[in-house]
Amino acid sequence: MNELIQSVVYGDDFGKAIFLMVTGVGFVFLVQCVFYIVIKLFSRLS
Amino acid sequence: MEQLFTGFLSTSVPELIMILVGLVLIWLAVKKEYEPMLLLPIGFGAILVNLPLSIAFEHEGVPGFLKVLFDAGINTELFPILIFIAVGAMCDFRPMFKKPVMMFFGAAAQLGIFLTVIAAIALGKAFPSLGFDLPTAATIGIIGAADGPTSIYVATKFAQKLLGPISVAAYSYMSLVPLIQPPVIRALTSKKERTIKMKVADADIPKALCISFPIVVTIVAGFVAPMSVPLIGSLMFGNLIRECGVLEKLSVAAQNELSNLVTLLLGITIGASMRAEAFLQWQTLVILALGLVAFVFDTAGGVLFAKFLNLFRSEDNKINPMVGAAGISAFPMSARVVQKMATAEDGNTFVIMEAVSANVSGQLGSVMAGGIVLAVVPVLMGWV
Repeated sequence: MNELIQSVVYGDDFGKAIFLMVTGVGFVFLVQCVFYIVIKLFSRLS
Repeated sequence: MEQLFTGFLSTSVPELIMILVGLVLIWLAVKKEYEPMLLLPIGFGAILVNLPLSIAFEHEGVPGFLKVLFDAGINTELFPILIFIAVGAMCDFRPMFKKPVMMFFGAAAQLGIFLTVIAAIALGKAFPSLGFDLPTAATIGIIGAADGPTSIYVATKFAQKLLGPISVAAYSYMSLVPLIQPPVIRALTSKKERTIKMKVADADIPKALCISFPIVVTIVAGFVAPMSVPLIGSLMFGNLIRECGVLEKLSVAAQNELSNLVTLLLGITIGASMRAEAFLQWQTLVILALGLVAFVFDTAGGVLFAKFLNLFRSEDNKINPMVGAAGISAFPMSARVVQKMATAEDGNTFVIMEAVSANVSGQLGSVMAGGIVLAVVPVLMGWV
């Protein structure tokens, strides 16, 4: 993982922008998944 | 004698053009009612700061009231944070709790942010004079969050000199959602898809969930992306005040007095960043164009994600793909646009609840996207 980040950091701006897109969209989906699970859990428990 | 005419002698054509821009913004606010609460103060601020000698901002090293407000409210990021508390107090997440699958549209519709970053980088490569490096491109992309305070917050961190055009683009396009979204939605969906009727979700929402949600969101965001805490934390603080049930007065104050006062100060202070030498550049036009691209990509991202989900859903449980477009943060405008389109296609198609759910989750998603941009860009630039 560190090697990947290093290669992106020393790469060109396109590579950085694509990395930002993958991590950005992935992160937002991941966090929404966590919230989805929290909401579902609450609905089940109540 | 000359001193009597200092005002006339000190003015320049670019400043006169900016005064005209300020007048146009005021006209849009008053006549067209495009985000009047912001465009009017921004327009007036633009006039103030471009008047001869610019006394209202800074003259001969002495700060005027606009500079004082700028340093106190924008440089410190205080105004966007206060606005987030007010927005949080206005947010009702119940529709989202009733149909939590709609949350994912709040993520899908952030795609436009990141595609616009790539587009800005491409333009920066093609025209190096634009000076679009990654932080600047990321700031432009954030216009696609359809969320003014997030755009201002990120611009303050990464490209303060572009604060004026970024803010104007963000707020203008938010008010133009009814014009931007329908053609994109129509281009990506068939009439049959636009008339899909969705099952009504009518579940009771436990109060404990409403109270716990803002706390859980803040803690999760704090661990996953600490840089997003000021944004998410203030949004969720406002929401907790609303939902806790014991701070009615504070909730009302946040929704009204705080929101109105900070919006007023924020608007006029942003207008102060629209000085002729900073605003009248090719960059500004390109930023305005890219902002539009971001909104189009956002809408497309949400709609296409809904169509993708439909591939795996049974015939009687399909999602009306127009709902995906409401995953942007422009609340409640986007949800209204989607319902209006649904009614126009078929008077019996009601998607307002689902659209509001997607719209509210878009507010969460846009702040999350802003947080990840704030966290990742410094790493990619080798700043940390």
